[in-house]
Amino acid sequence: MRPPQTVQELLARAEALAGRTLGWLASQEGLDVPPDLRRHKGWIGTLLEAHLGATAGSRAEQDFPHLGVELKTLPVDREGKPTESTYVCIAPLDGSMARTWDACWVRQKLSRVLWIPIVTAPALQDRRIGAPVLWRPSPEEEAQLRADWESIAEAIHLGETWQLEARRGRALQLRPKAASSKELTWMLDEEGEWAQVNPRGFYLRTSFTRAMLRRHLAAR
Amino acid sequence: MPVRLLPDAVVDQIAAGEVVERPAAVVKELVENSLDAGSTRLRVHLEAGGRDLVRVLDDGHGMGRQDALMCLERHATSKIQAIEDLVHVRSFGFRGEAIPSIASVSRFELTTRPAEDEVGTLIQVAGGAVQAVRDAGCPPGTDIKVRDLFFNVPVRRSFLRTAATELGHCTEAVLRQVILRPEVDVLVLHHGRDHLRLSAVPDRVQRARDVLGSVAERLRPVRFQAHGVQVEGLVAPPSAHQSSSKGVYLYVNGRYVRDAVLRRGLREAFQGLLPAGRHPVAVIEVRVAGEEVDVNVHPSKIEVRFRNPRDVSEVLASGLREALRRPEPRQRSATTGFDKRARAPEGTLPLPGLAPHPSDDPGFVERAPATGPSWLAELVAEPSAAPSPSPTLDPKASIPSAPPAERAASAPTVTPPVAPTPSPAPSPEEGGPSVDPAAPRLADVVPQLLLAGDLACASVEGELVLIDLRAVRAALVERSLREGGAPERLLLPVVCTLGRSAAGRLVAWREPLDDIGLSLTAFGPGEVAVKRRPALLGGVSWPELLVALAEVLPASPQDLPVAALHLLARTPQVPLATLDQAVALVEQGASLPLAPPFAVCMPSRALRGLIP
Repeated sequence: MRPPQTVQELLARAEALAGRTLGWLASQEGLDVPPDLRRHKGWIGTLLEAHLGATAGSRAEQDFPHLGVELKTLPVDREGKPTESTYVCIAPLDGSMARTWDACWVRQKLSRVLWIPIVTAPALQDRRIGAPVLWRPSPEEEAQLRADWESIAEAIHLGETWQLEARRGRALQLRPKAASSKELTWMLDEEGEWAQVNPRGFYLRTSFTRAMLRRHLAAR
Repeated sequence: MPVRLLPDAVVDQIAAGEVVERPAAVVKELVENSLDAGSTRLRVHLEAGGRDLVRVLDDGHGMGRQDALMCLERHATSKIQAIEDLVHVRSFGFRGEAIPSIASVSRFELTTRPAEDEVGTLIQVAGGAVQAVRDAGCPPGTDIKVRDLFFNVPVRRSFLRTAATELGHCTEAVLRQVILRPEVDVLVLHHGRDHLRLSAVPDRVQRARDVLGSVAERLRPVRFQAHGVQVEGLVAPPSAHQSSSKGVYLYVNGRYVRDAVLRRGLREAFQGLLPAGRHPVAVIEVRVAGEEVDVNVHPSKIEVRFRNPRDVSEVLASGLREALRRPEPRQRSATTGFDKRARAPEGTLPLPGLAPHPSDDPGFVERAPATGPSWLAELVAEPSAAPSPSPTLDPKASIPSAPPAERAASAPTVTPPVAPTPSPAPSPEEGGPSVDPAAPRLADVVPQLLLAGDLACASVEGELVLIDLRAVRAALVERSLREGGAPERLLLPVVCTLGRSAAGRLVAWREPLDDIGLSLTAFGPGEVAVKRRPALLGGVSWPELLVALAEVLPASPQDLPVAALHLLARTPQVPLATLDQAVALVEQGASLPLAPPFAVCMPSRALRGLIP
């Protein structure tokens, strides 16, 4: 699919998918539906990106860079409650993280998001695509994200990554982000020494995405 | 034993018992001092619920060395100088007791620096005895660490509860102090972890929302003034009741209080509206002139004494009743002059002039509805639905203005209380009767009982009122549809298989239906998908409704026929399951007349006659 030229075109493509199953969409794209997602993490996102015309692939930029829009799928139950937290981006632990919220990657990624809820079902091909939500953080949401990011960033700058637990942050949290515990990255510890640790990623809590969805959509 | 003067240290420890009863009291006193010092950034570090550490850091104006040493002396304060000053005191503290009391029962450390000084001061005190005073490098502001509270009063320490309980009290102490101070950024950490975070926000409404959580969406503004007493704040409808009184925050001139007079006013306003043992949710500030209230009743200053307690409780009750009679805001957030501005500078009590009505406030917070206009916003703004507060407003104004006999005549008991198939009330533009603004309305009653999911009972002045909830809902739905339906997007479209003919006709009528909040698209052969629906049509069976709708629509689309609106308004919905739902529905229909087809009033005399 060619990339959408405008945000409206992107939104219309997403709207047209609302109510369809992943099995239907896969057949439209000529793809097989994997038996489950354990060995195919990211399959749903890739499927939607292909259909909607995303260009970034796995590059570290927004999925629709020319529109300034990031695509995020959001698994939800039938009541519209997100079933898992949402990965935003990797958290650099090696001292290369932005020093201010305005310059940080989290803010850029979340500045405009096209959320596509995926309503859960036992079989992957039966999961349905929900109504899309084109979202910008409200001033209150941005204030909360910023406060969380600053709190986490400060701890990372001070080399306190060891002590950072997922409990910190009301909207944004830091969690291990790796295929296995064997995957390691370098970080600067409290003494300024290099140490190895599992990579960490920024995630949005389900309470945050749930509140966001509830403001835009009514459950059936 | 001969009579002897007690040593100063013992006097301090005894006095400390009045001010400092648990870690939360330390938190309260230190946070009050920080706010009095003009802080906008407050950090509270706690360990073991405050037993091991209470640390309060602020960016306030700090103290020079002389002041820092002086504040450790009992009855040393910068806030008053003569007893007359008590009348006008606007700061939280003024007795000069808190710091020496706390220092006498803990290991106390004070680090402070005014912005204009290059060097700060560090003072360490243990059990009331100064251990060290020296220069310290520190940012402007004050940092107080209170370690090992009651280490020298083991009996008192043994009375402390578990860390979790004490932490709860400490958190509550912070919330009470900052709910009226939205400009202050607050972070409470327990053992270094975020426990409570309140970012600085532009107004008290947003701060209340952060503190009260989901119920905050239902808060409505309170603004009332009479007899020199001004009441401002937010109150949730009775149906938002809670199991404890933790949702009640009462203030006098900005000071959190636990006061029987205000509690009485609150109780009176909610009389008969709350189930037994339940409590309302309200954040209320009462403002009176300084000479009308004595804040120096108890060292903790949590109790006050009013010169005219009866006036205060009556005005509070009237203000709350007036606010509760208004329809509940849904698409907009509640707001009031309580308030977009930062806290008024100390000593500027804005009596006697009233600030503009909330709806006149240019800073009025209006959250844009997800889609389409909100008819409820109209209801809220409707002058007849929301009497503007007036200094002369009768506290008994909640009672319908028409005499009971007149209402009884308008609703003869021979009339069946519920029409079998309720139809929406004809609007004046359709030739229906115009509504007398003085006539009793549903706003005057609160359902007390739900019958069979579609009838509610209430009482007014000893009369029984029966409300037909189907008729109320039908009127609300029709009104809503005419105003755009306040549509809600569905997470998953409802896909209905209708057959090619019905599906084709509905899709042809897509645009007029869109105007009333119903968005349909073709989905598959003979199928349509409902993507948006009017908010008040949440409990309908869509396939049946759409088949019936296709039948009343002419072949070629034009203006939507009235029959279609009536069909949508009258379509059966899931019966109400709880009294709260009935209360909420009647609140939404507050501007509807308290008369057939919505309600009948039955005098007690007629009811007695029914019993042989």
